Amino acid sequence: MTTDPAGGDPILVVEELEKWFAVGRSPLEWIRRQPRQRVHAVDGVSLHLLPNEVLGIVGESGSGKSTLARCLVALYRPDRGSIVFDRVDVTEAAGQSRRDLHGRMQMIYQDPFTSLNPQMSIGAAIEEAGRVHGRDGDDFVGGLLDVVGLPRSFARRRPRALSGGQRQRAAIARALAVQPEVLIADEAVSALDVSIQAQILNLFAQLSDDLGLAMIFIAHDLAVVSHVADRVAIMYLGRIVEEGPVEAVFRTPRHPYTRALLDAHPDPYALGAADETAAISGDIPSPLDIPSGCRFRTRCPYATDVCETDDPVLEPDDRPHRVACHVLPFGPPTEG
Amino acid sequence: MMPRNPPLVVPAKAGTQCPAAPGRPVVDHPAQAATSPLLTIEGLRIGFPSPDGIVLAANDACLTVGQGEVLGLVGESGSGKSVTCRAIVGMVPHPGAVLGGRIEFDGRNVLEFNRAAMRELRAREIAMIFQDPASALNPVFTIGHQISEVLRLNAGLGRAAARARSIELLERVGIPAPDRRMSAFPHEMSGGMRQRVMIAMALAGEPRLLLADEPTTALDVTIQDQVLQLLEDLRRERNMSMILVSHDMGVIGTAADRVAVMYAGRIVEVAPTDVLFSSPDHPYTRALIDAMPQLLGEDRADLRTIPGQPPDLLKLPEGCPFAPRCPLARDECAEVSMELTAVSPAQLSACPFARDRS
Repeated sequence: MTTDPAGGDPILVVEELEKWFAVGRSPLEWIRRQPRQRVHAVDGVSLHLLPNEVLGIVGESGSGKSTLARCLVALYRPDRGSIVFDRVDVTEAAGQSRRDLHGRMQMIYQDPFTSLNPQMSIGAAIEEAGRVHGRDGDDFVGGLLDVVGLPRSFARRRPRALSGGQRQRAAIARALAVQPEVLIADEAVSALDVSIQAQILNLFAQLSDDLGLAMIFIAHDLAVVSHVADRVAIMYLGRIVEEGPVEAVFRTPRHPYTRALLDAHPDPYALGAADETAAISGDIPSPLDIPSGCRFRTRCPYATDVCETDDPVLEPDDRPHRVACHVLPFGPPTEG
Repeated sequence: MMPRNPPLVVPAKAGTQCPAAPGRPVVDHPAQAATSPLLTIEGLRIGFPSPDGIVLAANDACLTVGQGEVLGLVGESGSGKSVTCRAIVGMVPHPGAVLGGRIEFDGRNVLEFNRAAMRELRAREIAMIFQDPASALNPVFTIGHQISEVLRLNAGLGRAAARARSIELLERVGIPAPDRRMSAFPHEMSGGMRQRVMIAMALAGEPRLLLADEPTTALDVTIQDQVLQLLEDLRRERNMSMILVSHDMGVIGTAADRVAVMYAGRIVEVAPTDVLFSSPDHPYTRALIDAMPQLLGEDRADLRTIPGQPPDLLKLPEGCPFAPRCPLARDECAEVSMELTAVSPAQLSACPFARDRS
């Protein structure tokens, strides 16, 4: 794995990760003894995360970004590949080593309405998480509420007495209770209104800057990711198709899919500029029936014969801005 | 019945502050639609009973939609944008009710319609599409059955003619192999395809006004782009008017001709889209635009946020509802009438103080 001269060794290294799910069979298929079909939700993903870095992961529904996140925190056991967190293999972790891992990596979910226990006061939820790792007390809870910008009096409240944004702050406080080194946010601001979303995005930026947390920030909204992330990986049907510094990927996208995402991003200030480029046609193919060769070829305006037969691989990771494409219609990367 | 709730009676208010009040020549007003309005909403008040009093989900809302125009209605959750839209077709969810105002569609006050007239209106003149096409379609009937049903009931077509017309409609909204798709069930289609089916059903009655309530919110961004493009094409092709409700300033900014911004049941600003984004007047509009993360905006510079929480509609302050969160708030805000006044030839704003800030 590459090491960034500034950031040191990566804290998290994922290699060739695959996770598939078996799909149920209909009675007829069962009688015919047809094999169960598999959905390859994550299909060969390699990535790394440096300490104090925010890695954004962008993808549409079915791209496997949430499955990837759940593998990272050992909620799913991957079927192939490895996840090494600070020299500990996450996929093999069990018992105490798994508990230790959860103390160092925490996940924040999209919907704070369902991720907090409705019966438990905010303070109790935070304290419980902290106690597992030997920290509790009113000062501890109060300190965390300060960090996420909630009044200390909220410790006594139940989640139902909080608004969506406040609940997400509470969920973040609970995640911070174990003093994690890595925070994984899965669409953590998608359910929030614009004004509240901005508050939470600022909070994430502040956590990364002040506490030096490494973060994996998963979202479907390009603008949100470009706001918080240092580096970004674009996923399509279980694969990373482009990866690099946010600035490079969004300013000079090299994969046709990234380009299409950027063109489709509704931006009122890009009036008239992007409208001429053809929107990509068609739907995202079913993950049950992934196209041969390049999986984006069915929607790609630049697809050629080779795209149909050969599966493109992501360029070697000695480059900062990598892409998996045979055609490279937008030329070589711009270095810098 | 909810005996705990107070009866839905709201004290009459002294004159609504609509720029397009009856008697005034509508077209003269700067923020009116460029073409003669197809729909005019004046002083609309919609209330929901609650144990603690009546919640006004729409409070003196005024809007116009011109012929062939796309009006964007933007606001955060709870601002009243959806319920305002539903009131137009008499679909305010129970136990809410329209308490006052006028909704004039093509010269007729829709609020006075009886059930049959309203049904007729929904069948032929105003159609609506929703955020979640999965729950708006019946899961146990085929797509073809559902579209044909609309055509047979509303257009009086026979079975074969309805089928042929359904296929045409599905083709028009960009569904591949429409004749085969006729026998598909909703669960066999993707979200984007289902939304296209909803649009095809909405088009079946050849409506003059389409109410699109968050039509792309549940869709992926590439699919959202396709659906917005389809709506734009259909609007041009049929000179159809549209109200596009969305919480997403990006969607509104790319798809609407004119935008009305709602906050706490009130329209706080109305302006043509380019004017709204280049020189917003109302502090809330400014704040909404500033809070939008920009693609490759300033590098992790703090997004400007709106302090505080969206208001509790039961505990609104006197005067301007945005005052508690407003950077320009002053004592006079408690007495402000929330009247939309012209800021520039094409722009109306409810804030009298924003202009003399600089």
